[in-house]
Amino acid sequence: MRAIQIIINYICRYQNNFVSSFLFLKNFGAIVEKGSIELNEILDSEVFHFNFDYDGWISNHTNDESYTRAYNKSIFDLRQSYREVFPEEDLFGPIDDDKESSKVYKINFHVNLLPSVCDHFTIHHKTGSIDYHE
Amino acid sequence: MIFYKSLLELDGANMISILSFDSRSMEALLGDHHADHFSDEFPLIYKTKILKKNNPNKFFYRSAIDNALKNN
Repeated sequence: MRAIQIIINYICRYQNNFVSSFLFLKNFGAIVEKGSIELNEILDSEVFHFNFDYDGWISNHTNDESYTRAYNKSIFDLRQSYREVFPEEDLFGPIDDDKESSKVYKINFHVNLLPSVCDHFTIHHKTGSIDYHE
Repeated sequence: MIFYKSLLELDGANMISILSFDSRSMEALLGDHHADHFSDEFPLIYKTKILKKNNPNKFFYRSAIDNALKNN
């Protein structure tokens, strides 16, 4: 198990990017089950978690609450999927121009990739078919 | 340089994916004493395309982590 630990430490240090999450798509459950491998560093790293800032997604708002939403399509479609992730027109509400500028908050968006490792379902981005991944 | 050299010489694989079953080899290859050669621009851990032994027309992908898990 020491070998896996060394490889994971290397990934955390030199491949600390969400692209590396594909290395764990089918084996992360087995690694966790081993029990003897320290995973706190990789779980805190940017391998399973990344921030994004796309033009189509709002960047400032007067609502500063946190929301957690599911997204089950291709990561490459994320840029155009704001309305799909937040379909409620008035969830955030319109920006209130009467409020002071200090009350307008910067909105950050994060993606947690952990639900996409191990067994899970996905919707095919072209056919719409639901696929099960072991 | 490590990335290109290993990619060309070992059919897309590298010594890390080949020797990943052995912790001492991993320590020798990925230890901090080689830190000057490591770069996030050239990943060393990746999935390698491997042909199936019983059917050369089919293939699968396996990474150093998969190899280490399989052999430990």
